[in-house]
Amino acid sequence: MNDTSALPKKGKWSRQAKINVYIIGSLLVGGGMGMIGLFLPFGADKWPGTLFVGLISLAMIIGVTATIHYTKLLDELARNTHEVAFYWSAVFTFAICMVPIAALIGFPDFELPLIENRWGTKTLAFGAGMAASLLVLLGIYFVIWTYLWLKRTKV
Amino acid sequence: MKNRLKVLRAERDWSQSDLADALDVSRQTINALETGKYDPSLPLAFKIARLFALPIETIFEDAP
Repeated sequence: MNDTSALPKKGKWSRQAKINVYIIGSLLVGGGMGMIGLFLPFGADKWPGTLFVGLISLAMIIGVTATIHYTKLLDELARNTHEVAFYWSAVFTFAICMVPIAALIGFPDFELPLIENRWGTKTLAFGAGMAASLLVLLGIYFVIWTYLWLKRTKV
Repeated sequence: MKNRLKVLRAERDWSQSDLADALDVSRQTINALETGKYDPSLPLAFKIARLFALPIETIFEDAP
């Protein structure tokens, strides 16, 4: 039986074609902005310039907007896969990041030789950076969770 | 959950890509549905039923 006539007409752009263009476009634009971001701080004074801060802020807004648009382009399987992957990556990130943070709380002289010697970063600064990232992640998680929970359970 | 998607598609001589385009999902999604690795959302299940002009329960079967 050949019943292909029952199929709806194909659009000019398939979902995958849109996503491909979107990913390549994002990489090009993101790469371009990243290069500008890398070169701007050179020769700057102690503090980053207004242009640098402005571009970083703009990049953040574009990044979030682009992600929202990209997510809308995905079909439910791809979106579900991303959601599950992000959930478990967050769980494991928390678990891994807690190691240096807990070590530093218990032993203030604790050192990570690789970070101290090769990167020239103090373990305390590294741990503080991780703790700050985790707090931001956790804070945003609770905001989104509360919003969704209230929205979905409102009588 | 079991489904008859592959059989229904074969009866109509549609490729996975044809079905994916008609449902506005990726070909990978059709493959995951046919192999039983992914259960569709209710809106997608209804869309599939409408496309094949069949009741949902004749396409999908709740299997333990």
